[in-house]
Amino acid sequence: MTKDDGLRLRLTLLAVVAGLAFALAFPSIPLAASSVAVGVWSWRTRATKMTLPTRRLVMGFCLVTIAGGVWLGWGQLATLEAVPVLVGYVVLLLLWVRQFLRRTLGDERQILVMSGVLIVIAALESSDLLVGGCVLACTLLAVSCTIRVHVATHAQGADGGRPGRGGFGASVDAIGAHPERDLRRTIFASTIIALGLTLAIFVFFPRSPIPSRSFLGASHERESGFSEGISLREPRRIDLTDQEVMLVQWLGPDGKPAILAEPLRLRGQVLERYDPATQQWHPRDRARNLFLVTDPTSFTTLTQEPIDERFNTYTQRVTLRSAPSPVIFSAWAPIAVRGITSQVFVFDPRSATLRAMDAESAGDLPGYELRVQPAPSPETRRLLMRPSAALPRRPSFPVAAVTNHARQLLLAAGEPDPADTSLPALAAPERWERNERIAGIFERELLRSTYEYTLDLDEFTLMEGRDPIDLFLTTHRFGHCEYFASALAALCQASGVDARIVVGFVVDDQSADDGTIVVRGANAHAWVEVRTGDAHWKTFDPTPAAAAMSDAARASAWTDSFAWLTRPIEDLWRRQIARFDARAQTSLLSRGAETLREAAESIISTVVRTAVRSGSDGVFGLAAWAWIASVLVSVGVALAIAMIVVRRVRHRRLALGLSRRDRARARAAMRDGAFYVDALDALAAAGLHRPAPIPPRAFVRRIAERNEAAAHVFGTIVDRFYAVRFGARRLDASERESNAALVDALRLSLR
Amino acid sequence: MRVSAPRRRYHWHPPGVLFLLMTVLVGAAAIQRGENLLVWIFATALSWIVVSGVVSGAMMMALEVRRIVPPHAQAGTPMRVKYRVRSRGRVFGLFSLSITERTSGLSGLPGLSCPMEPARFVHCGPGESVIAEGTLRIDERQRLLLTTIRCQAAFPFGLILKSVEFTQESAVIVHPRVVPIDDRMFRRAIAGTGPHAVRRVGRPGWGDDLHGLREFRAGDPLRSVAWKRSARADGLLVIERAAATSTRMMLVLDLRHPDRGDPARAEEAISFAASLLAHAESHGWLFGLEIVGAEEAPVGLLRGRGHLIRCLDELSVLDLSSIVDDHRTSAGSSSPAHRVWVTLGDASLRRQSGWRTTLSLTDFAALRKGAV
Repeated sequence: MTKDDGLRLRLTLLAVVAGLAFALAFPSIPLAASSVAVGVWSWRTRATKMTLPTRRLVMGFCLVTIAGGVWLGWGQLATLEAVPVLVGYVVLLLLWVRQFLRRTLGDERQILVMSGVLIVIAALESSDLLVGGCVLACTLLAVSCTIRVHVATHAQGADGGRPGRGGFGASVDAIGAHPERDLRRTIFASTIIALGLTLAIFVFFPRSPIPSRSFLGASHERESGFSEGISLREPRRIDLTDQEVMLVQWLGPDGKPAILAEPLRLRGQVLERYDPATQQWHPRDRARNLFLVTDPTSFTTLTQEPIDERFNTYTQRVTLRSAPSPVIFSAWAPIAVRGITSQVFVFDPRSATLRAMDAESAGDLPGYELRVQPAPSPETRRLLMRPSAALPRRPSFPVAAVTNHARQLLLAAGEPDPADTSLPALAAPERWERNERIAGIFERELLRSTYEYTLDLDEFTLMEGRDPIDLFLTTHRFGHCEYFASALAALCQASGVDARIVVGFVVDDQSADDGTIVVRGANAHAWVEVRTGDAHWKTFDPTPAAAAMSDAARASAWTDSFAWLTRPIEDLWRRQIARFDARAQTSLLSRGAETLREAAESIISTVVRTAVRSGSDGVFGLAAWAWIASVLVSVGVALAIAMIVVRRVRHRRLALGLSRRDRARARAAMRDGAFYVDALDALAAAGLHRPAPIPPRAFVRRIAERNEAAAHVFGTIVDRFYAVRFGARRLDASERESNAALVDALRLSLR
Repeated sequence: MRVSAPRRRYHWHPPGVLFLLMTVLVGAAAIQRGENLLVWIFATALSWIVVSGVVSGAMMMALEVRRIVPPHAQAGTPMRVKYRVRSRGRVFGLFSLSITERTSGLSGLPGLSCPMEPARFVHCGPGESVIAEGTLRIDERQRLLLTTIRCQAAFPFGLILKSVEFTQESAVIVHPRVVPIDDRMFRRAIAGTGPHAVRRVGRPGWGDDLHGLREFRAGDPLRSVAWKRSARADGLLVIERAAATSTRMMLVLDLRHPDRGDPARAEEAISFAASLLAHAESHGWLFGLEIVGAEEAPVGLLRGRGHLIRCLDELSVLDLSSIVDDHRTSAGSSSPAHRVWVTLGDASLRRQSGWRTTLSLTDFAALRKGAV
């Protein structure tokens, strides 16, 4: 392979990796496959000359594709956030074209620049391991490519051609084997220095703790598929992600892995209040929260009184895989919690949900364990949820259109009109029974085939003055789980039924033998709980189950087979790169400072110990101080002598014009030619410095203009020096003395 | 040659500025988004800028350059300047270096620069020397002073341009522009139009030209007898040949002008004179030069390349402002115009003998080889 081919291969590789990074960031398997295919194809056809009509055809196709893509996608891409995506697609297309139409070094530079743009856009979009790997590979590969393109461009200029124009291969291949070795060494050194600096800047870059910004942010949602609230304000398409959110190990009462009888519902957040102004569901105010400090060695119960854990108590062990969250995901009903590290948790008895108190510290939460009773006794429920004695007020819903719709549905089902104020208020058992019955009516209504489950809400257009729930129920009749759950909860509350939305994960895939369940972003779900007792809430899921479960199942990845390999790498990536924030920075720096301090202390203590040992009777006395002082003085003197010797040798070598290659000859010349250096020093002391480029004899002529006698003596010295330096003459002791006498004579003549 | 400590500087150039701009944008995005991958890219970009400075800075620290210039150059002809570049580095060599010059000329303008095709080389290994060659284009005769060697490189990434300036003074005498003269036209101009054309007188000798007739002397070869003339005379007459001599040319350059004239025309006249001198040298003639009104003494009649260079040196350093407008030094003409007096004869004649012709700039155009 010629150097020309080598450079092209590197640039092709760079372009492919950059294209892959972009494709994985969005993600798009066809785009990734196309990037690789274009790279391979362009590399295989590099020697084939493309004719002008073919070039025009390719360029025309690309321009039409770009224009068509922009026109078709303008509706979705017209927002500011979508500009990088649009730019990325255009650049990727141009990069593909450029890989086929490469003639000059200028084209190679364009590939470098376009790859850089793609990498930046990919990094803007995603911080996944694969994208990160591509970015790291590109940053390393780009060092070599950039240096080689720069040298090749210069070589072209030195060769007579205009830089960046003309033939490609000749200039690259003109670089011989010896420069190539030197160039490789330089590239290696540059890469190492750049990597070291990058790491240093990366570590010291000012950051804030990641959780404070991203828990409720879009990036977190993208990573986990879970969001703590439900917002119906901006209906948008949801892309399923097979990102692993957490691993759940389900252990039976005997401590062995247990098989799930039904899908595991991991409750995360409970939302009870709908705000029609913001069109968002919110949790109720946490007035009766319980603060728990967990001990990593034992479980902390969530109640003030002890709960009987002897029967029907399971252990849910959670290992967080991505996007650590302050929300604790628990199956119904949690009775005790244990953090892997000491943590403060907040327990809300009304919703029976847990969360880490400090959102900032939740980033350090690697996992937790819960004791769960799937079918708790009434006593356990009462202790856990601490219901008040008074009957809660009947709820209502703030959107009149939904209330009317609920009324019509109930009337159609033969239920009494909930708006009829003449009906008597129901006592507790009747009210709970009514709640369950009415929720069942609404659930059946939503599960009818007239409502369609879809993740694509591009056509869910909002209308002025109409609430999204009303639009879902009466106009559009399609949506995903958040819309179905919102509709059921809204209909229930509009009918005076106590209902709330639960967001979390539903998973039914228990693949591993050890009872481990992989929870992915696609398992995120929302359902409804309706109150059917003082301390009893029943689950209603109005989302068409088959569709939701098939979506979740589709998200299971083929990479699961390699999880044993990828998980440690992902863990490393997540903790050291993707989730490296201010706290990790502080921790790393303090650890570094501590290590340095310990090293310094160790050295000092070693010195002191040795000194003490050398003192009398183990006391740090005069002898010890003398020992330390003598060591320090000796080291200082040795260093000073070494510096003087090195400087003197260097001075002589330069003055005598000796190379480092023939060491034996250089040593002899340095010994025998010392008189010439002394003579030059004497002349320099007299203000006659020898300019480096002029030869000794020319220097003699210059001296003659100022001092004839000195020039005469120095001329003799130069003759003798030539005999030593270039005539390979070896001097005996008498000749050396004679030369020294000549130098003395020179000094005399200079006075 | 004067040498002083090198001066090192860093410069931004367009690719570097663009890269810096992109780095700032990525940095802002990294701060705003808090994405660590963006921080990584930002850190990489910053490290590239630092490496760009450090690697090439270290490279330039180990640089030694020495200029090798020819003693003479000719106006209008590219002058090749060589540079011996040595890398004193122990581990890393020099890459992608360009060398240019800073010059000053006789006109005294500081930093008068001549267009230069930089000397470039791709690589010089550690401890090695290479020779790089640049081309300087000089359009005017002058005593050119090359003052500063400027080496610059944007290695390794092409982001930051580093330059090192070595003050090394070298003088080069730039001869006037020389154009080839058409010998046939020149001879015709000399013979036909000269106002002071005089007879040609020579010594007898063994050349080819006819010197005259004389009476036969004992020992003369019979082949030299002019039989026809002898028949009409009383005795035998023999043909006497002229001695073989080389042609000589004394060139008198008159640049006096009442109002100092047009400097461009004066320069053209100087170029004309230089061309005639070169023509004379190429034909092996004896030639000399006198500049009317100049302080310099006339250059006597000699032949050869060295003598031509001496004459051209005189013309190169001629300061037009120092021409004395004194008519007593005139070669006989009262015409106040730039012109060249050419006296052509052979070596046996004194200076005033031979053809003496005044040539003007109009003749210059006609005498150029290839002129119609």
